[in-house]
Amino acid sequence: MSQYLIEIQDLERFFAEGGGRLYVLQNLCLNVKRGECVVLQGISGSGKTTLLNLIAGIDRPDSGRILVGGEPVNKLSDRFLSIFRGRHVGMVFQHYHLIDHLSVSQNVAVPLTAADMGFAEQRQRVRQAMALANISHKADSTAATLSGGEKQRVAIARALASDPEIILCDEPTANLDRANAEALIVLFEKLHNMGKTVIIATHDPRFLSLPFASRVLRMEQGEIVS
Amino acid sequence: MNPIFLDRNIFVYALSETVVWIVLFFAMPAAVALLRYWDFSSYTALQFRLERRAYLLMSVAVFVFVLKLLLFPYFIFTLDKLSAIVPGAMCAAGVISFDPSGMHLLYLKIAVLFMLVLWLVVNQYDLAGGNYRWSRLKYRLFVLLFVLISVELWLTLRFFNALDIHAVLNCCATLYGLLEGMNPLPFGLEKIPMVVLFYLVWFFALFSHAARKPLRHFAALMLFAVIAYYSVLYFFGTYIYELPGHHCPFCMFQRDYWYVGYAVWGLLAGGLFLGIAALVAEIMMREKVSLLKRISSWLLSLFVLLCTVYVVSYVIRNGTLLPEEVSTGMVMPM
Amino acid sequence: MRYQRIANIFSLFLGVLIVGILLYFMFQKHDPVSVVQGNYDRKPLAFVLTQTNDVVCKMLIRSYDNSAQAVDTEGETHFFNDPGCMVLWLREQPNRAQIRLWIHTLDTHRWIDARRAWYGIKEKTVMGYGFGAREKRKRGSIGFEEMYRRMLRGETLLDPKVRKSLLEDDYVR
Repeated sequence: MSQYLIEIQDLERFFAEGGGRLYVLQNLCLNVKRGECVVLQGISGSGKTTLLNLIAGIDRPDSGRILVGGEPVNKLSDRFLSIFRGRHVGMVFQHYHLIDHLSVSQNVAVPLTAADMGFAEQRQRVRQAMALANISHKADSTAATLSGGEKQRVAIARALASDPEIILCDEPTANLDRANAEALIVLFEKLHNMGKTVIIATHDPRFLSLPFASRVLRMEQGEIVS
Repeated sequence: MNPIFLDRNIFVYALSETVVWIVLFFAMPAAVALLRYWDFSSYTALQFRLERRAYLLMSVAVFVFVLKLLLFPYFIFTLDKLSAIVPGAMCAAGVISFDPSGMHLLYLKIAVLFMLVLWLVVNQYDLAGGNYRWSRLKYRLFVLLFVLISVELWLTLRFFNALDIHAVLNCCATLYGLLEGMNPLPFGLEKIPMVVLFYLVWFFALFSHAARKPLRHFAALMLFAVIAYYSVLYFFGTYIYELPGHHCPFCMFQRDYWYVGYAVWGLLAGGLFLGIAALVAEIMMREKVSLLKRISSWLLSLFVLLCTVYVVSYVIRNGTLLPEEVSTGMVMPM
Repeated sequence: MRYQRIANIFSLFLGVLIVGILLYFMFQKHDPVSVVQGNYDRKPLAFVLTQTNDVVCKMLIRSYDNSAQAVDTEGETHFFNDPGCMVLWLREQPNRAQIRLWIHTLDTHRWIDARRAWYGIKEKTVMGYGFGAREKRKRGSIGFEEMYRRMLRGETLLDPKVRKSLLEDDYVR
């Protein structure tokens, strides 16, 4: 078995533009060990979000190989991809992507609806995830009534509900004030200590000096430059 | 061009078939590329492009299947409506037999439907496997489907173009009536032994399914296809029409018989197509097909039940079976 | 599983039964004959009534009287239950003159050359055309060529006008 949980080789992703190609990622290679915390730093348009989407299987590359836990993620059919994502990946988006009219506990339970588990087990997982993200006190509140920081916690709880190995975070502190952002960093440290593999894409300078981050990789124009 | 294309039903039907063909035509380059360059173990840009196109082809195939499934009964309906304006034809049977290619066209349409069902079954197992090991088979079938559908479209347009509403056609009595002394039943069977065989083969198919013997089940379904067709034509159909000499497979599609033809032939065709396609997948591809086989068995059982209900209902109402057909022989028109 | 084994036994039993039934019927009586090969002598063949079909109207030949046979140059013999059916068949053949025609007469009850027979025009015949074959010429009967022409022109008892004119004559007389 490989020592790396995530192996990326010669990854390319481009979009057709004006008769030519706009490369979002090119010749990107990255290996991430189990339990690592990796920070991807770069300005907007450097390809961070695209890379996270490709690792999660939300998007498909134009060439190259992505292995997650030995599975060629970009080769899986839609059905297997859904199963893979449900079991192995939790994603935290920049704009939360919560369902406003649902309650916090209902939002957290969304990834579990397609999972093969009973109601009792689902409820327990939701409770555990909300406790971990410190949002249990808002379980019955509608998502629309929450503050930015609370919404981000709900998003993290949702990502943790299926107990995934990998947590992918895309600009988690972009819409938060300082206090909430620091609380979030503490939460990430907790996740890292639990053995989760965390990849954070951000241009927040606070993440450049995280004590628990094993690597900070700078991305520019679709490539990892350092 | 024959002005019959201005008939509302023929126009809609011909246009729909043409649209189906055009969609397939534009999908063909992708299918050919997939056949030539597909290599699932590769991570090149070409392979990823092909994998994306594979989804497009699947969507096209599903679209074609749904449309074809709707168009086939509509074809029968159209022929039936035409029988009202074509002299001599009392139902679709007379119209389809106008041209020698008419029956070939009908068989081809049935074959296309079966091939589509087979494609969907192969596709189902190809996706479920995760490593797309049936992709080449799938795309070869796709290309074959295109060829068949092209021929089908050409024959269809040619058939309608050749229709002459001034020519007197044969009615089904002339086409399907028992010729004196001749036995139209297969294997030299007589009517009652054939009906007994109908039920025996149905049980044989059910028990072969339960015993999980795919080859036996396949043989049972192939035999049932033949026996069921003739049983409906020469026995059960007569109870639908309540006429011992009425042997037409098409008249039961008409309103007078509550359009029961769609149910009778639909259940038979559906059960057979699904069952045979599933067994092809099981025998050749070694895939588990239990759900498909179960659905097939249910459809065929419903078909048997429907046929039986007509006989039982007649006997209950009249206290007797239908009298034997009095054979008066056929007189050829001068 | 137990039910699988039971199902297996039943399906085997049914399979054998079905094959047995099919084989039994496949080797049973045959369909009636309408064409016989190998008649190189080109003579009229003996055939079994109700086991032989008229090749044109497909009806079973139930009586020898007025039935016909046509033997082509390859020895292929076709059967007819009425001289009218024979004419309809003959019309479609390219080498009419080479085909030997036989008719079973109503008077002498034997097979003779159909081209030498005499045909009544208002006989009661199987197909209703009205042409009854005789060896001896009778008043009002016509030769083969005339019968052939009338048949193809539709001047048979099946035509109501012809029927009326032929049978009215009798009534008037």
